[in-house]
Amino acid sequence: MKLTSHSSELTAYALNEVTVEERVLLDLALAESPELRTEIAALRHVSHTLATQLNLEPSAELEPERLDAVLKKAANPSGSGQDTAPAPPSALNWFSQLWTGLTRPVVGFSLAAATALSIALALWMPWKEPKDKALAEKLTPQTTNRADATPELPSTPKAQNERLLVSKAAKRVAGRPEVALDGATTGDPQRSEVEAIRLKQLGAPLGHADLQSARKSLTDADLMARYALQPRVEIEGKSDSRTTKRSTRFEPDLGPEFSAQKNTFRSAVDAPVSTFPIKTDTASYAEVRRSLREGIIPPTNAVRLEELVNYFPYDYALPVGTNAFATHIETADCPWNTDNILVRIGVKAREIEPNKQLRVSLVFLVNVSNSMIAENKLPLIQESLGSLLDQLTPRDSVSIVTFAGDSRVTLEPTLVAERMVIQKAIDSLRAGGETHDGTGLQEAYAKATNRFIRDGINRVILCTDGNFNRDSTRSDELINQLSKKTQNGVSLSVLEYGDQTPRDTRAKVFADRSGGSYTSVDSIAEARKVLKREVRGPVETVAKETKVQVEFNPTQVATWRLLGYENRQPKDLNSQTNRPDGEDVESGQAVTALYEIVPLARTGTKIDPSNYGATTNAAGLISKGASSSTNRDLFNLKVRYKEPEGTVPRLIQVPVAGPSQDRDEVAATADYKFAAAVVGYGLMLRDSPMKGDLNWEKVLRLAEEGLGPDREGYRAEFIRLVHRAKGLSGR
Amino acid sequence: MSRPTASESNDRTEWVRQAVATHQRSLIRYVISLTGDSEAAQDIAQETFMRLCSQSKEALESHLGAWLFTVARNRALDYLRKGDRVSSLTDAQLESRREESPNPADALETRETVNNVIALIDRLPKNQREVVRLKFQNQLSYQEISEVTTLSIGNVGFLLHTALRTLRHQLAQLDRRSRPARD
Repeated sequence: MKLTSHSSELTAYALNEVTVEERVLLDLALAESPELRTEIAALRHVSHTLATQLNLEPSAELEPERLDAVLKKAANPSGSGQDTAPAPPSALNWFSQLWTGLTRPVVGFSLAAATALSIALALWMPWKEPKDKALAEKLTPQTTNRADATPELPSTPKAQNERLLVSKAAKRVAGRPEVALDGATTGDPQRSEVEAIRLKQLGAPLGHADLQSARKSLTDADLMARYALQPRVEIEGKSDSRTTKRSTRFEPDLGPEFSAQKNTFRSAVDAPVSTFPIKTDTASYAEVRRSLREGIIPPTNAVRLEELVNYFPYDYALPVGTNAFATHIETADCPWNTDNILVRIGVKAREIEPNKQLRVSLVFLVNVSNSMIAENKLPLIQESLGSLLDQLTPRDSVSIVTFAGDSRVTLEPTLVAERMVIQKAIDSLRAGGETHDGTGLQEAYAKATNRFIRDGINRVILCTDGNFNRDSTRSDELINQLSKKTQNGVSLSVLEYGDQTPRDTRAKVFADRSGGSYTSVDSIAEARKVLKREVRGPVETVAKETKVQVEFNPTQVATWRLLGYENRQPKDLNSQTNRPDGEDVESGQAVTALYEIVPLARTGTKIDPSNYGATTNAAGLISKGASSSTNRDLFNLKVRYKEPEGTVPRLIQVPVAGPSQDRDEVAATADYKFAAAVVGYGLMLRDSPMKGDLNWEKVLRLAEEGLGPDREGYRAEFIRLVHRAKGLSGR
Repeated sequence: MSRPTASESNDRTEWVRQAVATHQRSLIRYVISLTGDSEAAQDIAQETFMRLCSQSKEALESHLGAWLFTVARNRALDYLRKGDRVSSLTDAQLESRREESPNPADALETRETVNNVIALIDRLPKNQREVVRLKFQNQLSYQEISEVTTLSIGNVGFLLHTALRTLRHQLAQLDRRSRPARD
């Protein structure tokens, strides 16, 4: 494919308007051309701006009289549909009285029975223009042309029933704000029906005033929907006030237990051993990003250094030979305090050949109706989808279809190689659509089925809350569809978010009946576990009982501190038995940890190593060397583990010297600089007193120097975030 | 067709109600962008939804948005052809307005970004303006835009590409002006 920066294929690519095959070709072209990549980034940026700004443009709703007319027509498609809401028909009084005293389900049934005849006849008509005009006229009351004209009194029971139906529809509109305001689907159409009927009984025509109020409510609901972010913004707003507070003083918002665990410098004499877990969360990165995008410096305790650093992939070679782990250690002068040394430790687990892995195509059906606004619903879904991407290969594809009142393809099938595109789509999800009755879901499913790949794993993952698919007829249809698909090798997972009791929710019943799996998800950890299992099946473990230890040499190191991992630090760092089990490590897993070390040589103090015999023995370092005074190592990295099926303890041990003076200037790799930039970003966001002479410019410079090939675009995104944070912090 | 029931009629009302609730704003906004007349937009939107009432839900299925935009667009074009609009600018007027300000960024410097961006879009040639709105305001796919506008998919792609390149340069210009220096 011959491409220039003027080719319109680039725009199509940037907008996800290419087929998977075209995308592969374009990916190849892009891989070779930084110029084209820049072009794509610019096009996406403009697209994003346009979409954002255009969606802020005001609009109007259909005027209430018009809505009324439309709904009437819907109730009676073959009629002229211009009738207005009638006065209460006296002939219906006995019916109304009956209804008043009845329970809701019975009301629904009675209403259905009462309207069955006329509607059955009406619906029997073909949807297109009625061919039998005479019949149509018989079925439909004579109408006036203007919606606000005085209604003709109903003349036949059928006409009365039709009007009832219209009123019902109008009242349903009025009933919706309940749904929006309490964030759950509590709006009960049947109750609204009762109310409509009561109104009628009282002789109050469901006229203009009602519709006005219905419209007003609708507007409120829509406002809620449009500004679905508001609850979150409020929460962040609270955080913001904390942020302002903390910006004057160091981290006052942390509880005592947190503050106590803040990692400060520790003496290598008193605490020669440090450990860090090999498994880290990365959620903090997304949380910080979301906050910054909303224009708020995140609260201190949302900024977790190790989660930021481990969000990014680094170029760690796999272990060679029989070792389960490769270690990658780099030391250089600390960018924010040149008296100190910043050490980056990377540990990478063996990878099980993914040769038998089939391509995976995932279609996420995401419920974005109003009830999904809660923090433990859509935001949790977004977070878990983001982290799921780590578990997919670049050849896999993801698409996202959202549903509420209707459905929308938020993301066409996109290769995971284009991760930033997927991430952007995930980030763009907003709750606030109509509460759905299944139509949206059904549509979404239809869209999903067009997007399957032939010889791979096709899976539909339905992410919803318990307020789900209330219409049982549609549910049945859909279950039938789904069951057929399941037989064709498409599998379904239903993930239910929110804090419901999972028993007997609609989502559960739905999953059971359509042959899908069901899981209730209430935390990010759970979400990640489930998604991983659902997508790949169990992941292979390459090591068990794994522990990573850093043993400092007190003859070289005065003090040290681990950056991040605050609340995960074992209480007693001297103890080697505080995590007796160690961790199971999965294929290809990697971790990056950074230590800031104050070398003894630079403090000007002389230490006699023999003074620390006991401690150094515990560290197993000094005693190892024949003469401790000749040991110039800063620390010893030890990885202890067992083979998954083995019982023999294995040990990988790497002594690490400080940066050699003559290659300081050139030593740092891109990965090192980038990791330092990410930690620096965290320190700046936390306004840490440990940040030395760090400033935003320095963070940016490190990040830019550390950009590397950045195939997935993560690092470029990071640089944008740094700019943003810099702007927000006003420094 | 199997025997229709009351619940099917409820379905239909519900379906239409949801279609209105979901699409009314975007539809009205779109028609206003075509006609420049909010009253006409109300008429056209109402008519569009009325027509929806006699459509087969199954046939439209995943196609609903595009269908509504197509119908509304045709109505809007009818309306414009009849020449009874009052407030909208003709293309010729728009063209001349574009020419008055060869560098739109200059004229727009002091306004808010949202107005800027929309003003820049409004200065695009008509067909580009429309595909930009359909794509970024209404999230239609190339395919759907092609259905709505009867342009070929290739043409849609070309128009969007051209529009994006134009807007990108103009926005960059605006950006530089409103933000003097980075450090």
